[in-house]
Amino acid sequence: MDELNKTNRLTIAVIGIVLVIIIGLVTLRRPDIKYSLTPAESLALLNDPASVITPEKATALLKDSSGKTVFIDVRNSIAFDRGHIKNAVNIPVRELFAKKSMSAFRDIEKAGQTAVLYGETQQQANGPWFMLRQTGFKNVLLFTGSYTQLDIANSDSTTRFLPQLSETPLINTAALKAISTPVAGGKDIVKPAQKAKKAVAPVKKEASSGGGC
Amino acid sequence: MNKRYLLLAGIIIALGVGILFMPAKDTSKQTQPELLLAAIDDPSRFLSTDDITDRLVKKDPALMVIDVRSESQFKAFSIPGAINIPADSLLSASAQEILNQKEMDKVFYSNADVTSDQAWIICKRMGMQRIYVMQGGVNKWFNTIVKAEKPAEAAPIEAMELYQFRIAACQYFFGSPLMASTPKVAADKKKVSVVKKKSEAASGGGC
Repeated sequence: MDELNKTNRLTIAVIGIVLVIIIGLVTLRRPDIKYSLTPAESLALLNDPASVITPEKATALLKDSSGKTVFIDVRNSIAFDRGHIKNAVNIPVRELFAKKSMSAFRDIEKAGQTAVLYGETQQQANGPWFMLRQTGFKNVLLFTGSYTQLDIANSDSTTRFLPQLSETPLINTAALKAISTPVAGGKDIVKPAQKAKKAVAPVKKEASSGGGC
Repeated sequence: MNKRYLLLAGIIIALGVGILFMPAKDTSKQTQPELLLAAIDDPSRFLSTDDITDRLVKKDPALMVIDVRSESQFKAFSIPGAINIPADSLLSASAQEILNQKEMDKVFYSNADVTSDQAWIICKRMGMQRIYVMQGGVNKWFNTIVKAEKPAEAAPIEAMELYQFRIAACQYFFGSPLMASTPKVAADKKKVSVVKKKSEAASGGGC
């Protein structure tokens, strides 16, 4: 009798442990989206010219009808409905990791196509592009211009659109120095002292840039 | 020996071996991709050039302006008071030490706001707090603060106040409203009437 009780308890213990393991395995949450690049690898990616599409390259891609390139519009659906690149797919930023979008990107990958992300500005497409790259999609490229630039290139290939990229330095530092130094040299200036030192000489001649109130 | 004991022991040993071969758990406090995407979609990380200028003028001790452009670009022109951490060296030990100061508001800027936003994404992924991006970058800063445009006569009073603030900020940084178009003309005119042949004049002062 006692022996029987003991074996029964053992059976219950075995079943219990197995149950706990099964429940544990079933409910284990494995995140669908994981980083596949380390931060250092992601950082190195930013200097890779092969991961971006310049407006010049985009013009050629737009003419190309082989279907190798899929344009992805990351603007919201309202802006998309108002106008978009022909055959572009609309995946707004916030829906990027939704199941539907993810399967769309996987399909593109399987088909051996390349996805080119564009937004209202380069800045808008930059985040989604960077996230896709970090989570392991290698065939995703960033358009380094705005939607307007892409649209102009699309509608009229003879028109030369502004080739200017958003990260182009626009400040004419030489001109700035010429203007700022006379004053900076004469005044007790706080920070850009090193700038002032470089060209103190023209102080005498150039008093014209005076401040005024 | 009861067979069930053996079974039980077998399960426990199998579990132990299983734990041994489990992949090392990611102990770093990385932001999960979904959360990071939500943060990217949220524009609150962008600070305007005027806000940052205001805080620079007020010498906000909790503000750190970080230039993520190359060293040569930083030397050519940078926002007064900014420090230079080129985007390439963002993960270096010295840069991490600076960026991990919890009590500071760290504002990234580049020429525009793409490189700085990329730097922001990397830092956000690594779990950093209180990081921001200057909207428009140094190009916009230059165009709004240094080359401040005078609003039209009929412009609302706020626009005029903003313009005066920009001129004053520029004067604070560089000693003169460098390129501000309209006041310069005014100053020139004044010079014509006041200058007494000396041309030395040293009229550079302003008030």
